[in-house]
Amino acid sequence: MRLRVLSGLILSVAACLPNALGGAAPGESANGAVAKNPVDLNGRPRDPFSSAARARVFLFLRTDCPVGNRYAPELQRIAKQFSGQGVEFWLVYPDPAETPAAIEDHVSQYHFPGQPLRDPGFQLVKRARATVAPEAAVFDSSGRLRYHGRIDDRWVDLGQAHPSAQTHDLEDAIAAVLAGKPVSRPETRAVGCFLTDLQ
Amino acid sequence: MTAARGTAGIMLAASLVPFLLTLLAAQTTSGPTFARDIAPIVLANCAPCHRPGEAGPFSFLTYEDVKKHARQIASVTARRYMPPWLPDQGHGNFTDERRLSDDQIRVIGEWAAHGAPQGPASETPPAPRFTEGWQLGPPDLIVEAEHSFTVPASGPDVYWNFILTFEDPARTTEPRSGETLRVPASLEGLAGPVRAPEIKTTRYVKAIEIRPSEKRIVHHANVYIDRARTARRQEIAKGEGFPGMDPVIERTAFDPDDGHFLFWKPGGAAYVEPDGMSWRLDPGNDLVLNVHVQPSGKPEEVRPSIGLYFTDEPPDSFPMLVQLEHDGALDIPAGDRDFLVSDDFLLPLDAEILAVYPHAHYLGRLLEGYATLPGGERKWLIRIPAWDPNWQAVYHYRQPVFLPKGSVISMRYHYDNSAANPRNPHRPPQRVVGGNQSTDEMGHLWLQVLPDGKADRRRELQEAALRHRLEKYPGDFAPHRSLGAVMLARLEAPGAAAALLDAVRLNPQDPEARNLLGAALSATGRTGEAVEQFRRALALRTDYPNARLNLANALIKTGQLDEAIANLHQLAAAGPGDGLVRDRLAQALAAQGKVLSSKGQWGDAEACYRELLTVTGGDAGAENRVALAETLAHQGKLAEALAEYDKALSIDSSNEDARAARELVVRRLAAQSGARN
Repeated sequence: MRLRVLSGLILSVAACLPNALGGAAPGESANGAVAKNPVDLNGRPRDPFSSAARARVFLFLRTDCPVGNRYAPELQRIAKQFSGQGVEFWLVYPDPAETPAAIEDHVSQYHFPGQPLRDPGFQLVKRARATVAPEAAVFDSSGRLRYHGRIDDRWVDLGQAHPSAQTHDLEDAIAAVLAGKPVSRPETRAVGCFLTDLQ
Repeated sequence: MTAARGTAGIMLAASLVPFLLTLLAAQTTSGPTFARDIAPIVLANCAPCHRPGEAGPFSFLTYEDVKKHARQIASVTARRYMPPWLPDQGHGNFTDERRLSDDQIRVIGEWAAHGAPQGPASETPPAPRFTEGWQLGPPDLIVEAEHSFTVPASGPDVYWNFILTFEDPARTTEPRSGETLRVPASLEGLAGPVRAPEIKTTRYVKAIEIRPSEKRIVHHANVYIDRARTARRQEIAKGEGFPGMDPVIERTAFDPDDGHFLFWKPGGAAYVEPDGMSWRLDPGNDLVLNVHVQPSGKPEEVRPSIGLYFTDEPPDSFPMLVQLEHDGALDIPAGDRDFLVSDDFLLPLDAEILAVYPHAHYLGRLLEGYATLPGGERKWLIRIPAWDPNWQAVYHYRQPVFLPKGSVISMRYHYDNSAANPRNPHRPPQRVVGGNQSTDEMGHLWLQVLPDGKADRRRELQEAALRHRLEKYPGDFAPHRSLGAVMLARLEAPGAAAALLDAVRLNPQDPEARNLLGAALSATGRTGEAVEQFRRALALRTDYPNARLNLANALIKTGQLDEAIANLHQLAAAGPGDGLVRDRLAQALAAQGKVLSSKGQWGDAEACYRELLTVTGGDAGAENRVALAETLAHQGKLAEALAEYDKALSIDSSNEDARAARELVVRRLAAQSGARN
C-alpha cells in the first residue's frame, strides 16, 4: 500500500517533467562528459523517432533488474507477434553507469528484441514517462505517446506475481496503435526497479 | 478586500514557516548519510545476499551500488518485503533473525528522500569479510548431482528433485569439459572428480552445506534422507531427477533417524548440529535434494552439490520431527478468502522444541503455531502474518522452547483462495485440495522435538504422533503399520499385533506389514500364526531376507527344522558372512542333530554336526563336539570319536560327561585291539 502511494507520487512528478524539459532541444549537451542525447552502444547519437515506423515501442531496462530479465521471453513473443508490421522495438538503458559492453551482453544473453540505446540524459525516460525497469512505452507514427506502463498484469508488486498474465497491456496497446484505435488503458503502473534511483 | 488580502498573506506566510524551518534544519543538522547511517544497516542485513556470486540480484557493497537502488530499498524495506523475514515479532525468538527495526527503516526512507547523500567516505565502515566457497571450510565429502536440470527461460516456478547417490566413483561419468570440481584437502587421496563418492561404512554427519550452483534462481532447497532408495523409482532415467514440490519418500515402518531439518535458503548460515546430535549416513542411502527454482528469463542449468561434514561421535541426543497437518481437510472452495485448517497434538512427554518449519503452498496467508500449556497459558511457537512460500525457511530457536507433558501444540493455518491473492495459481480461482504439486495446497507445521531426559524416547513420541494421525485418518494403512512397528520396538507385542492386523486388513498385499505382524504374533506366543504371516510376506516378496530369517526362527520354535534349515541355507547363500544367519543356522543344526540322534539316525546326525562345525568355523563349543563324537561312537567310528572327545575336553576340561564317554570309547578301542591280537 505504501509503495503504491510512493510510486504514485513519483508518477505525478514525472508527468510534469516532459512539459518542462521536453522543450529542451535534443542534442543540447550540458558538458562533454555525459551525453544527454540517446546514443547507441558505439556512443553515436541516435534519434529513435527519425524513422517512418507505424509504431515505436520503448522498453526501459536495467541490466541488474531480475523482473526485466524475466520478461525477456514475453517481449520476444510480442516482438515476433508484430514482426513485419512496421513496429520498431528499442531497448532503452538509462543508467549512465552501465557500460556498452554490459548492455550488449545483457541483450544477447536474454535475447531482448530490438536495438539497444543508452539514455543517460533521461530524455526518453521523461518523454515516455517511464518510472521503473521494465516498463514499456508505445508511440505512434507521429511520435505521440499512446501508452506507457506495464508489459502485462503478471506482477502485482516486487515479490508478488501471478503465475501467468491475464491482461496483456503492451500487446493490446501496440495492436490498438496499428489499428488506429485509441488504447483502452493508456497508462498503467509497472512493477520493477526504480529509474529515479539512477538520476 | 484589504482585510481579505491581509488574511491571505498571513496564511501564506504561516504556511511557509514550516517549510523554511525545514530548510534551516537541513542546513544546520545533517540528515542521514550512507557512510554513517546506511552502510552499517545495509552491510549487515542486505550484503550477505546482495553481493557478487550470491542470491541477491544486485551488489550492495559500495555507496555507488546502494545509491543506484536507494528509493527501491526504501520502498521494499518500508513494506518489509526486504530483508525477507516472515515470522512476526514476539512469536518465537529465532537465530539469524533478519529483521530491520522501525528506526532503521525510517532512516533508510529519510536518506533516500534526501537524495541518498554519501557523507564523508572516511566514516564508511569496511565491508564485512565474507567467506568465499564452502562456508564451513572444505567438506569431508562432496557429492554432486549426476545431471544438471535445465530451467526453462519462462513460466511458473519449478520444483525439481535431484537424487544424490553415494556409489563407487569408478562407475561415475566423466566431468563435462572445462569443469573441474575442487577436491578438498581431506579427499586428496581420491582420484578424479567426486561426483558420487562411495560411502563404505556408516558415517555420522554433523553438518551439510548445500550449494545450489545457480543461487540467483534457486529460492530454497530441502534435503531428505532416502534410506531405502525409494525416490529413484520416480525418475524416468537414472540420475535425471524428477519434478514435484514435496517429494514422496517411502520410509521403512519406523525410521528413527529422520530427526533433522536439512535446509538451505539464500543468505542463511550453514547449520551445524549441536554436539551429540549428528545423523547417520549408511552405505546405500540416497539423499534427495528438492530445490525451488524461478525461471530467470533465459534457460539456466542447475546442478547442485552437497558438502558433508563428518564427526566420529555417534549421536547421544535423539530429536524427532513431529508434523502437525490436516491435508485431508484441505478442500478450499474457489473464492474463499479465509479457509481455516487446524490440528492439535497432545504432547505425551516433557520435551524441548528446537526448530520449526512451517510449510504451505501459494494460498497460505496467516500461519500460526502455538502451544497451550497444561495450566492454560499460551506459548507462541511461530506466527507468520503474510505467508510467502518463496521465503519459507527452517527457524531454529535461540533457546529451546520447553513444553511439559500434556501441552497441546496447535496449528491454525488460514488460506486465501480468492482472486485478491496474487499468488493464487489459478486465474480465476478454482477449488483447491491437498496435494504435492504447487497448484495443490498443503499445510504442515514441522517441529524438531527433543524429548527430555537422557534416554532415547523417540518411540514414545512416535507412537503418540501415529495415534494422532490415525484419529484423523482411521482408514490409512501406513500409520497402522508404523504404529505396529513402533509398538513392537517398544515390546508391546499384543498392541502391535492389533495395529498390524488392522494394517493387513487395509492392505493385504504389503509384505512388510505381514512380516511385522508375524513378528508380533511370534512375540505373543502365537508362533503357528506367525509362520503363516512370514510365509505370506515371502510370497509377496521373494527377496526379503528379514522375513525369511523370521520364518526360520519361527520354524525352529515349532520344530520344523528341515524347513528352517532350508531357509537358512538360502539366506546364507545370498549373504555369506551374515553373523545372525550363521548363528541361527548353527542353532537349527544343533537342534536337528539332537532330534536325529534321539531317533538313532546317527549318520544324518553326524552330517548335521559336521555342517555345524563348518558354519561356526570350528568354534562350535564343547557340547556340539561331544554330540558329534557320540554319533561317531554309535557308528563305530571310534578313532574319530576319540579325537572329537579330545577336542571337546581341550575346550572344556571340566566336562565330566565327555570324560566318561571318552573312557568308554577308549575301552571299546582297547577291546577291539585285544580281539585283533
